[in-house]
Amino acid sequence: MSSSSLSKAWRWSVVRSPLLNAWRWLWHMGYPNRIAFDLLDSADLPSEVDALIRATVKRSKLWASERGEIVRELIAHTQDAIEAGRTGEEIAETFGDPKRIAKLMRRSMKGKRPVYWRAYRNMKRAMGVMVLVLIVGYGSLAVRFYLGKPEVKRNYIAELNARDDGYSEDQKAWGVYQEADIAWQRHTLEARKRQRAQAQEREMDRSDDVDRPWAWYHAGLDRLGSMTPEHPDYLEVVGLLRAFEPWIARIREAAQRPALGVLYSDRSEEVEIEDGIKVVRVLPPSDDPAAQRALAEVLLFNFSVMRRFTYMLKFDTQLALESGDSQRARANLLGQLGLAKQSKQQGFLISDLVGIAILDRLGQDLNEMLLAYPDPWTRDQLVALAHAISTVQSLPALGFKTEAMMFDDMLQRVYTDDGHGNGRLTRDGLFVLSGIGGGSFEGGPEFRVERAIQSLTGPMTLVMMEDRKTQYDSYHRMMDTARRVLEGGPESIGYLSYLDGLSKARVEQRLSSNYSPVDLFMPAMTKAVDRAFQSQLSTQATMTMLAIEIYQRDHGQLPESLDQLAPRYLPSVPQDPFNPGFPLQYVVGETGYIVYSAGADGDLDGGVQIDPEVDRRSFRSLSRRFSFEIEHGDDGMPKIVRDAKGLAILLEPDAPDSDWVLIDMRRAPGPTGSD
Amino acid sequence: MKLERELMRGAGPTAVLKLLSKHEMYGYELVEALSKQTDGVLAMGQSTLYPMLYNLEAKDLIEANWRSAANGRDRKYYSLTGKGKKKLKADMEAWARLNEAMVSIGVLKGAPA
Repeated sequence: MSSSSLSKAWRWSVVRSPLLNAWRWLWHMGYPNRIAFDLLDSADLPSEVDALIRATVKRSKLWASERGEIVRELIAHTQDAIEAGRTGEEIAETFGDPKRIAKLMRRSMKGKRPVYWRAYRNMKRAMGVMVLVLIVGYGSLAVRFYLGKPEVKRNYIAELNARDDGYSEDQKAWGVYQEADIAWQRHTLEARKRQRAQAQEREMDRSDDVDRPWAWYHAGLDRLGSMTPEHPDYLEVVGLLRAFEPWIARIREAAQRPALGVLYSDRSEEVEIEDGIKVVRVLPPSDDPAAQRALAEVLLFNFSVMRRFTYMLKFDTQLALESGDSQRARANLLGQLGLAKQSKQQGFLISDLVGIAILDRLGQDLNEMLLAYPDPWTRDQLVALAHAISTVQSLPALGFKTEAMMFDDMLQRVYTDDGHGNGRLTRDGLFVLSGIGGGSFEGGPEFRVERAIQSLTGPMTLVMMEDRKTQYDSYHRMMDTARRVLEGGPESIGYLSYLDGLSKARVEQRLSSNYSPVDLFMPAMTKAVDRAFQSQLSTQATMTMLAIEIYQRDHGQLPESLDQLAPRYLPSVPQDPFNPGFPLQYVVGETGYIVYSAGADGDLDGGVQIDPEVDRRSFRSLSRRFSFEIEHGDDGMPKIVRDAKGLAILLEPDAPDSDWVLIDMRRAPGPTGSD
Repeated sequence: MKLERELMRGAGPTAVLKLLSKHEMYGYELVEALSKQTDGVLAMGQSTLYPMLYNLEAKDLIEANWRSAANGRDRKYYSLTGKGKKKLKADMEAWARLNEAMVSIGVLKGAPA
């Protein structure tokens, strides 16, 4: 750069820098013509020329210093002209149009401005273009977002309800359960009134009122499971249940019906049919699926009622055994199995988990009952129980189909339909998603603000969120994987963990909102499958126990090993998923026998268990048993790493040195039965 | 006779550069010189001259300095820069070629051989 250029840049930076001009603007109180007009005032030019110069300067829209520069030059020019003998009129005549001159001056003066000013101007222009592009982009997205309408074609609620169409009313259980639920509420309400009256007579203080005598049924029947004869309310509850026996008999009978027959609907109301007695009244769903709420919003209230009845039957079984009524005890156990079966038949993940919980609980109860009351059980009763358990066990462990219906129903309510399985997110759909995801209370001020924000930001989610087909494929691919793992057995659960991890990573690498419908609807599949495997294991143990008991009744003694049970009493010797390649362990001692698994540490410790808490933890560790020891084969597919013997590598060799006792039929406390 | 705006836009800057190549000049002096030396053909008012001068200045072809004249008044004197000289040379060559081309097709009369 030459010295003149440098001095010029310096001059600009000092005289005409935007900062200095900003300062000048402030100095002149926002009056950019002041410098120029002060010069004109002191120049005393002919009035017509003065007016023209002022008009030009005013229109120039230049910086104050630039206006001053122009005026100074025009004053010099005019004075030269006057000196040359021109009159003001002549000068004004050749001056030209102020508007045009101002425009030319502005253009040329801006050309003289420094580089950083031009860079600043270009940046502003670029930002302007960017904002324009954003506005145009947002506008086009908004048009697509607001004009898109979901087409709700399939009536999934009707499809669900149609499953029981082939059954007559007396083959459906739900009506009986509803009546029994009301009857139980009425029954306990009367007891409550009676107890209150007694409490008033005894003038019991308030703290006693809270703890007893009627607190036990505030939580439904859940506490019955842990109620022992020492409990202060025990006799009261026993009396209540005995008085309820006719209804319990009806529940047992209904539990054997082939269909549950509950009406699923998106519309229901809780009504107080009598003073203090509330029921959920289901209103028929609309025939038009577009008028329905999403299937995911259908209330599954029936499962809580069914779970409560299993507690009732369990408690009644205990009472029956105390009185030596093994017939009633067996009927109650079959009733619980019936409830588990009906729950699992609904095909929701939650209903499967309820069914699994009932089955697991029944296994533990059976263990305790056979231990406490060994005699009343006949061979036939045990065989019938074993058959009933295997029937429930043979049902699909997890119902993926109904679960997936919820997702597919959501897709049709959220996305448009191009007729080829794809579509884009819609405004109505975003509201549906928000509602399912737990939005604000409908109608409230927060709700309106939430909707307004969603409406404004919604068009941008069109860019962020994956389209309908991608969401569908992602969800169903993950469900298929879970199904494959369930079929593959516990060892393949590591594969699911692996894939789950991959999916999560994939989702997290992008914005998680890309897959928010999948995130919202994908159940904790690893945990669910893990739970199913745990249930399979404990049910296998229960079946083994029943087989041992039947064997004992046939032969008058316990089998020496589990090998003696197959194939007559069990189809095969049950395998231990914690100890791949080996069966569950069976040890006979003087006081009885135990059936145990190797536990989380994967090695056998002679049936020694540290404490029940460790056992419970080892149960949970099944999913981690084969979790991460995965490598890719030549075909690029992940494979479980195996040791030299071909066994899956143990993940938790440092887990507590403890086995997990699944069945404990030792009749008296003593040293752990290892032989 | 005055030139049309487009012709003036092409010829004006070269004419100004040429005048400034002789010695530095101030605005009114340039207006007068252009008018008299071209018999009014390249005459231009303030509205044309000063924006043109500012453009040339922006391109570093000329430079300006305020100075007090003999009569005591301040005047802004314009002079050619090195870059301006090169530009003038290139422009003059271009005009010469244009002139020859115009002669060759009979728009202008050529000098007698």
